[in-house]
Formats: sequence, structure tokens, C-alpha cells
Amino acid sequence: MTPTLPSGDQASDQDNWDNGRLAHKRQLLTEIILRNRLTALVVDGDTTCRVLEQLLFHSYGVQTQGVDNGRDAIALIASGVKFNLIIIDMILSVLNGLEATRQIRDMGVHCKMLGVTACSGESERQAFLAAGVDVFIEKPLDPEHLVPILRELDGQ
Amino acid sequence: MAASSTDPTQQLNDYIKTMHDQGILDDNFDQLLALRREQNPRFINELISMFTNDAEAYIAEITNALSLTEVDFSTIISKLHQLKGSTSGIGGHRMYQACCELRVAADDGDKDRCDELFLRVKEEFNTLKQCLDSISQMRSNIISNGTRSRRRRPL
Repeated sequence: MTPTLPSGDQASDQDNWDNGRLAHKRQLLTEIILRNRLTALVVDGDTTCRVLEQLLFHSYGVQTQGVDNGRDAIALIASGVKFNLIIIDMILSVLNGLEATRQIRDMGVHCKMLGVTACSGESERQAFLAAGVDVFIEKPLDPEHLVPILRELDGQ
Repeated sequence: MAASSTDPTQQLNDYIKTMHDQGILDDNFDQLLALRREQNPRFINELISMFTNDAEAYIAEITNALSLTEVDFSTIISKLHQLKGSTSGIGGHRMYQACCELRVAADDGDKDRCDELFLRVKEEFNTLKQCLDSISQMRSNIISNGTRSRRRRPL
């Protein structure tokens, strides 16, 4: 089951509780308005992570596609679909994130790639950067990391 | 003893704060709540359900891998990676910490330590699941009370 991604007018006006913690988080979600239509590919084998990452992108107006393994990511890119940004996890089924990243770069794809993974060791970071990601981010992907990258891609 | 708020919204706020204070939830859960405003009102409940279902599956696979005569550490690491990732996304702080410790033991190929630390992962998952189930229930009550209020409004 995947949570549906409806339009904003379905938000409940009764479900309007808040607390002080949310103010800063919500501010980060609204502090950027993109001038251009950006697209992102999310490659993550875990459904919860993939849905969360796609929802975070949607909140900024970025259109996304999601796949759960490296092979499908390669196939999608090989079919000619272009993305401004690729988010990829390190450990994936079928074709792991490191090899998928190498193959994507070997295909001549030069878009921004973020390695977003639950691995936090320096050796993992170096391996992912060596494979071809531009930025290594320990999960979860958060607005603090994403907003500056989206601004850059949007030419702001 | 101070009287507790009867306002369901305040009760939910207080409960989440308590979960933060106990280290069961962290700021990543707050990020979900911030996303909530942009999505359908049942988004959080659906996501919680997705997380717990998948976590139970990962735990079952790790259990199986640990029970083999020749422990399958590769599968343990792979499934633990996904469990760790989804737990961090949902904001399960203590469970995430337990997963990190288990990962070290799995990397070392230490079965005895894996068994011990995996017990802790399962305990923390049960605690987190109860917490998330309570949040889901409280949110469902808030949403359904809101629906009933809207139906009572004159046309």
C-alpha cells in the first residue's frame, strides 16, 4: 500500500494541530519557490524511504519517478528519460547503488546525483563519491540538505 | 495530579512530546508532520502502516538469516540497511540506535553479539510500534471527529 499523493485541498481543516517543533520544519518546506519545472529520479529499495523522498520532492513542486532497484534505474535512463536530479541508495537489489551509479555516469549522464543512504562510515562515503555521486547524505533526506541543491538546480 | 487536557489535539501533542522526551521519536518524525499539511489527512496513518508492515518483514528475514547454521551476514546487513533507513525516515530514534549497534556486530560477523543486539532491535521496534499505533489511533479520532463536525454544519 502506498500513501496517495493528492492535491493540497484535501488537507483537513479539522486536522490543524501544531506545536512549536513544527514551525522550523514547515518553514523549510515553504521557503523555496521553484521557477523551473524540475524532475528527480528516486532509487531506493525501501518503500517507506522512497515514498518519503518522493513526497519531500513533491512538496517543492519537483516531479518524481521512483524505482526500487538499480537495474530499473538504468533501464529508465536508457529509455531516454531525463532528470535534473537522481537520488540513489547504496544497497539495492538486482544492481547495487555503487554499480548503478557507475553505469549511469558511463552512459554520459551528468545531472546532479545524491547518494542518500543509511550507511554512515567514511569508507562508504568515499566509495559512493568515487562511483560518481556528487553529494553523500546520510538518511533521511531532509530539507536542510535538499533546499540549497534545488536552488542551485533552479538557477537561484 | 494535574488534570490532563480533554482536547484530542492537545492530547496528541502532549503524547508526541512525551515520546520525544523518552527518545522514542526524534526530529525526523516532526518532518513527517510538516509534510502532512501538504498531503491527505490520512497520510501519516498510511505511512505508519507501511513502515510497520515492512519493518516486520525485515525483522522476519533477519531472524531467518541469524537462525541458519552458517549465519547469512550478507542478508542481515542488507535487510538491516533497509530497516535502518526506514526507521530513520519515520523518526524512530531508539530503534535506529539499536540498528546501528547491530550493524557493527553484523559487520564483525559476531553471531552471539548479533543475537543479543537483535533482541534489543525487536524490543525497540515493539515500543516504537505501540507509540506509532497510539498516534495513528488518536489521529483517526481527530479526523473522524472533524468529519462529523462538518456533517453537522448547516448547508
